[in-house]
Amino acid sequence: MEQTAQPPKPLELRYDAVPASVTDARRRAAEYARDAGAEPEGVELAVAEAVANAVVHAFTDRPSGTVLLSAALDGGSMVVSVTDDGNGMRPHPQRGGLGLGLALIGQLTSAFSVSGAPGGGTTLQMTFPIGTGEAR
Amino acid sequence: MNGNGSQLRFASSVESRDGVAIAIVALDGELDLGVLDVLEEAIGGQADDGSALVLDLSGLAFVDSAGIHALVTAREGLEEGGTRSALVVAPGSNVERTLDMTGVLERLAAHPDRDSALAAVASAHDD
Repeated sequence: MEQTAQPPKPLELRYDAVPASVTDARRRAAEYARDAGAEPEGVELAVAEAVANAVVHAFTDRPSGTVLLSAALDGGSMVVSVTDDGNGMRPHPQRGGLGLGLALIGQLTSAFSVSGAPGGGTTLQMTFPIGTGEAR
Repeated sequence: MNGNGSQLRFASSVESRDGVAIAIVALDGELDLGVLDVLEEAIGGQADDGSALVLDLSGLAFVDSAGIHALVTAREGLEEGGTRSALVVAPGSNVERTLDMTGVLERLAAHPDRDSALAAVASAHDD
């Protein structure tokens, strides 16, 4: 008898807000997307942008902090949140950019929002359709 | 191959085309915010070696906007320093899709294969 694939359990991972964390966060999110049946390449890129935004722009007043990555299924969607404990998104004095990150996220998600996190920091929440990728 | 132990590696070589010595840097792996130093090492080591460079991205499986920004900046730096350069991006690849989404693909004047990139750089050197 063929077994029905179980939906993945919610994911929650905490990272140091350093550039190297981008790699693991995006890979883990892509893995979750594969299991959930979302499009893994799009999720991977969007999460890379979100975590990189937090690393570069959320800690301009101190060396670093933490970034929380969470993912869960919500009806027919996969919802991913990236929350930092920084001081809000501010331009980094030394590290400019082409301003592509949020534009990419907008193209890769069915919806996204940016809001202040409780206790300070910023939450970027992204919604992806499921059924566009292939669940394992 | 350099950058061993990193998710991004690179190999350097030199090829002569129409009498022009062209440095080639081939990237392999994944380019994101965490490995920009490897990209800097890969390109920085070549910029002084000649007046022509082909950066081959066809072995790249992933690039994010931090990587794209670094590529654009490096390209501009090379051009400002008098080094002719061209990029190779595999058609239909994940990297091509990302560059296209950001609108940077056209700006980078990417070539579909190494041969056409070498020809373009050699030709530009003659101008």
